Amino acid sequence: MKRILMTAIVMSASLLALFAESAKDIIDRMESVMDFDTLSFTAVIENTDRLGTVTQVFDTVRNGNGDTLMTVTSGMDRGQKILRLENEIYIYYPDADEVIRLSDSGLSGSFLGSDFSYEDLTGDDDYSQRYSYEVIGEEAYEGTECWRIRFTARKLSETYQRMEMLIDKDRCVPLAQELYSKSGKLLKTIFYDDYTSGPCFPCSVRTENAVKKSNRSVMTVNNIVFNTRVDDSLFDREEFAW
Amino acid sequence: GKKEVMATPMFLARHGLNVGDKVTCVFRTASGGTNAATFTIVGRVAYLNAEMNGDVLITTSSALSPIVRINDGALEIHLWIEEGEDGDEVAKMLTSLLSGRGLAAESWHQVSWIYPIMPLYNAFMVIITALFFFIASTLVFNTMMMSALERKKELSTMIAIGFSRRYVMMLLVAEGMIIAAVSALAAALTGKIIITVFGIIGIDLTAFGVEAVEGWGFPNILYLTLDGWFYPAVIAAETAVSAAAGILATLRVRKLEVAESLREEA
Repeated sequence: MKRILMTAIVMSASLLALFAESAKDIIDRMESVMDFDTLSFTAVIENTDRLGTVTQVFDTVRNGNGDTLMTVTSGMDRGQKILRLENEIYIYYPDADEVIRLSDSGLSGSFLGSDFSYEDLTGDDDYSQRYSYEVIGEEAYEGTECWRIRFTARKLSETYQRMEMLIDKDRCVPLAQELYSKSGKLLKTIFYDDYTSGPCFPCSVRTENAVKKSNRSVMTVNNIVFNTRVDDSLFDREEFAW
Repeated sequence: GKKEVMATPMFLARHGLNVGDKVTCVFRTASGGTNAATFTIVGRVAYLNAEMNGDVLITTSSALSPIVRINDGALEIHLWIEEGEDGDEVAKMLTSLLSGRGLAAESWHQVSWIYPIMPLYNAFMVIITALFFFIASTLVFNTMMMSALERKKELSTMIAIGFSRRYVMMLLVAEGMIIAAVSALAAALTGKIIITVFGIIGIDLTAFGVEAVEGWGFPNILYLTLDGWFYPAVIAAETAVSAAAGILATLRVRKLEVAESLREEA
């Protein structure tokens, strides 16, 4: 009787392991459904803090290398341009005669005063290179079954040393992302919604600031176009300010 | 509204810039974003308050407000209150008036980094003052003792012609106290004059070629002050020290061998 019970337990565990997806499989699938070559869109960003709500509009173009150019077309920061090349960000301010370069800690700076950092909006999405990850649980988020995956940074230079992401089991896209500081304190949660079909891309993104409770940002993406030819000169550092 | 700034000498020296050069500054805006602007340095400016002379650029609020997105608003308002009013009480009153608006009011005591160390600074000053007082008292004490002991012949003569030892001892103590009181009064008056003069014109530390307190929130020009109670206290203390010296000297008089002293001196 004891032998039969042991055999049943071992067989059940083996079957569970067979059907359970590893974190690597999940992330690979997520990267696959969200993969695109080039991308361009227009976004409206609404930032609310204790001073009120400010709305700004910006255009984004991203090439196949992950280089990103964002141009603010409306709002108080109109004319500002942000160019992300690998681990460096160049910012052109209309009132300044020179381009300002940010790197490392500068990447966590606020984008247009929002809760989104430059890293959030322009960062490299190749998680396997930057983080180790593991499935730490399964839970329902607004009626959708999700995996909860914990990401731990491979390098100390990463803006977020720890993240936890809720990934939709059905579509394999992130629905929520909790971002933590080096000390393990929750900084903010980003919620993704209104995904496009084809390459899945969230057209509605909002944040909840865990540090400044009154702050929140909502970004709505419009006019999204995937995989069209992008002029490489847009990402030329020398041409950037012109 | 022009993008022009005045620079402190320290700023110009540190960044190798001169009047007429351009400088680009990155700002954190009121909403937490960033902005940058290039300014032309149109002049040098140095303040009496050393805190203002650090790595600093000065410009008009009309030039800066649009860049940091404050426009006609403000993030911080500094309120000066009448001397003698309790800053903490005023801050409490303002906090209750501003409640519900997401604004806060704090007194200088709460925001200043200098205030918490003031007791330490005061204790340090007391130690320094006590040290100087001890040195001065030692000199007074020695002088009074020597003045009594060097007059053994005169004191012996007074005892020999009929003055009682007690009377001689009282004379010595009284003499010491009178000298001490007169000299302490003269010293206090001189000190008062010096402190009053330098309290008006100040002591310019930059004249000594040192700007050690720069950026520490202390002024480069020190204006001397001393509480009024200090002058009578010093006079009383020095008189007391002198009296103590006189009493110790009189103990020698009590044991004075009159005949031997007169013979020695002869």
